[in-house]
Amino acid sequence: MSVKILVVEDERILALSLKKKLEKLGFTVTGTVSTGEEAMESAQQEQPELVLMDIVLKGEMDGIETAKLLISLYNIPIIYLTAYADDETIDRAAKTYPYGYIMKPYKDREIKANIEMALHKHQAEKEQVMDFEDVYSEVTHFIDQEASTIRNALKEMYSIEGPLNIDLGQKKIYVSADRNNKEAYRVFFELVQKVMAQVINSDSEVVVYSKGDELCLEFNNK
Amino acid sequence: MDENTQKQGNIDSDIFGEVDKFLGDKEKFIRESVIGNRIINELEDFTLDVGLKKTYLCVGRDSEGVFAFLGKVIENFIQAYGGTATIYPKGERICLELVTPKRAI
Repeated sequence: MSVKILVVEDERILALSLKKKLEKLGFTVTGTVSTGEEAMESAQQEQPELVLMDIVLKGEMDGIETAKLLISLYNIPIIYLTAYADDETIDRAAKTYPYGYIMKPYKDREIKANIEMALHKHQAEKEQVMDFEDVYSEVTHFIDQEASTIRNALKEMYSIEGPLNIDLGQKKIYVSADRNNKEAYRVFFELVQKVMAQVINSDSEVVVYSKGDELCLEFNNK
Repeated sequence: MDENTQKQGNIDSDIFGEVDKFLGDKEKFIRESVIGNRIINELEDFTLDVGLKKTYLCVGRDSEGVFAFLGKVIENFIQAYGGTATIYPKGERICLELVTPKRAI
């Protein structure tokens, strides 16, 4: 399926010419609009995969402001189109982290290369986000395993087994119990007594408090 | 001494008197209900400092049944005040810092 592109260009003839070029290069043009407001509406309805954005536009929003909104709302890669821009405009445009910048008049090869690079870069960035999610999943799995190890250690060291919740922080271990559950309540205070023997031989401290219906215990390793 | 100074002195005396009474009542409550008279009679080596917000209780680490005693104090304190208890070592003693929440008296 061909890539869907939205063209935002306020010069009607240039927009039509660009549309023809894009279609000839094998892309699908979801629309040609001339204002930022129309671009937002079209992006919401047609969900293009990339936007070619003229910096100077009719209406209240210029191309840079429109690009900022499109990126924040829909995470669509933007390539700017312009004939001329002063340094200040280029600086503003650069702050939106565009995926490309094409100077008018457009050359077919330049358009194609910019679009393909932008799509490739955007895809790579999305995969990096996926990688981060994988790492997060691994860390969560590790923490769950560690919590299970600590639960077993509590059972072995203190002969305590019961309905306790255990969470690991970077420097702390949190144990909590439902104070309305008699068994959890008993086991929790049994644990409090038993960890004191450990505290006195270490440089740690233990904090015990209630939080709503929960009894909480924190081990802090100083 | 003029009349204003005399009045201020009376106000200060009233405030200090109120604070002393509050601390006295709080210590009595902690001794009787949080620690328990029986345990106090059994423990020889312990110190209790009651403040407006924080109370410190330290017991010799070798005292008999010290962990059971401190565990019971924490349980009673949390039931009575819903506060926070911190257990920490201090030399040859093991101490509790009992923090009373603001809403409690």
